[in-house]
Amino acid sequence: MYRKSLGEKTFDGSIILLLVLTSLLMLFPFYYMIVISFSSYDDYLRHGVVLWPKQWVLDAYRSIFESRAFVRSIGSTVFVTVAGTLVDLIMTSSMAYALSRDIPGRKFFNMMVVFTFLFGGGMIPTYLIVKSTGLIDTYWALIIPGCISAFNLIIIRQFFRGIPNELNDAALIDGASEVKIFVLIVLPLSKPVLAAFSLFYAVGHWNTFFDAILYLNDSTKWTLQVVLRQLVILGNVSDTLHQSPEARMAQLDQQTPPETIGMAAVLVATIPILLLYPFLQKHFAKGVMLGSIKG
Amino acid sequence: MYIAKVWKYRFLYLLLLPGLIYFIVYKYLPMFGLVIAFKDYSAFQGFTNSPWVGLRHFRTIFDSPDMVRIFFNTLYLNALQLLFAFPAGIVMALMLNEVKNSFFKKTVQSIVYLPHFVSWIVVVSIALTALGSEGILNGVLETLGFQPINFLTSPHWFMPLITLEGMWKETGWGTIIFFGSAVRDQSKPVRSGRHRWCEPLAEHPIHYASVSARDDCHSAHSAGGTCARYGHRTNPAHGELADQRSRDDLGPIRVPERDRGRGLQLRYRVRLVQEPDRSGPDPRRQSLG
Repeated sequence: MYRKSLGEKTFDGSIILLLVLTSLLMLFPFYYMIVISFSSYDDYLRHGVVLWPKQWVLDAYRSIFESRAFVRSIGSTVFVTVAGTLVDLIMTSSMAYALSRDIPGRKFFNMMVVFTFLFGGGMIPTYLIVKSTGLIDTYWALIIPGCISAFNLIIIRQFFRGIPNELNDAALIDGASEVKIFVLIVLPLSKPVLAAFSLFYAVGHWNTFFDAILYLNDSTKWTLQVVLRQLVILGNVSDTLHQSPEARMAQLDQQTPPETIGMAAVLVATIPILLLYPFLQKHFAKGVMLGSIKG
Repeated sequence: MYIAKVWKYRFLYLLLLPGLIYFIVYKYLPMFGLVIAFKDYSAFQGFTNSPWVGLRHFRTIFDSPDMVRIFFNTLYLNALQLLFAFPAGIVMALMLNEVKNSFFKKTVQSIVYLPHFVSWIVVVSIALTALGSEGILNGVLETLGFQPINFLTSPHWFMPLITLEGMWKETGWGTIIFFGSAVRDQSKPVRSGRHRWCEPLAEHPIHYASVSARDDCHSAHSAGGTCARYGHRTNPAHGELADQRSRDDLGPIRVPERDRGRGLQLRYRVRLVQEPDRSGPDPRRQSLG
């Protein structure tokens, strides 16, 4: 029988130990967030909360759901996520399909897409374009200017290319148009890939923060992440740089929110991601690998 | 005919059009918008009509006393990330690659990928709460008899904190790229050193292979998750169900007499002899014992 030498055993053991420690380190912030959000503020201030709440209280949750700004932001974020994911999928998949077929000029259009991997106009010119297309202070500003991710487009195109051409030919002989082939044959065959990318897009929209800060001046339209920043970060660190218009928001809720409320809000904002995570996980390795098979 | 071909695919161009407009308007127009760096931009006159000012804005920036500090701050932050965050992903991928228990490996992977999907706001919120004057870290420091550290207002802590938060969020996700590459390479025969990702991993000499122990010669699948292709068996390990997810043809392996006919998937330690050399004798023909 083969036996591991002492050195190998120590090596394997220390790797396992390190990985367990790393995993705990990754999980602990989530755990800490949950514990703080269910603690009373007094306990938190007195360092009473370390690994377990002294007593479980729902005060923090009560106050965030009483905050109209928070509840409203959940609504708008849900809208942006659903509508945005739909628009993203339609735009990305239709362009990806056209580029996957042998149309004249395909190489040029592909180059055009790949070029944007490396070069971009930056924040200010993009803002000015968004402004001149009239999207400022509408939710479309969070949806349209980022509706195609060049990276996702290339991966989906690659997947479409893998669908055998014979299917196309058969459908053409049966008299289907190209659009019909796309909608009735290609899209149904690509359900797993589309599911994967809709999850990615949805997470992206749910976490959208910077675009919302840039393009939405009206604080009643703010999305969840912006309101979270308002509740937790600006309430926590005195920050003179970002006074208005965010300062108006703070006055909406009339008080500097204590950390327990912040953690409760963060937890509520994270729950959808945690719920989606098993599905995401099933798909994302596939998505990343698809990309690595053929550039 | 070119035109006829274009006409034949007219519906496909129709599908292409919305995406094309998107790329032109929101990706390419802003690039041209960068000319405002050389102009005295005013919103009323727009990109094209604002007057040119040459390098005036650049002079203003580089004359500013803050410029040197800003520049080195950026370099410093980058250096921190390059030194700590970038290797962390590689180290974690290598550690995970050593783990043979697939349940443990999958569990760890699920946990370390998770932070990638939460937003930066959430990361920073938790960090602020945990590191604040009432947070858990200062609580622990005080219990141990140290002075509490004001992480959030001390300028020295800013860059390390940003780097650490980034590492917490992205290290696990960083490993997926290395695993993706490893899996890709297994699906293809290895040709000497042409695949970039083979090189660092191939230096690691020990691989596991599973062998179906019915017959003498069988193809084996590498379970170690790297590029082992030809090898010789050094020692049979205990009979253990092999990891079937990643497979790579290892060539024939001679199964010892006592293991034959057990119908088990046995796991062997395999030593990678060399990268296959197409010109020399086929290493599969050589004695594997």
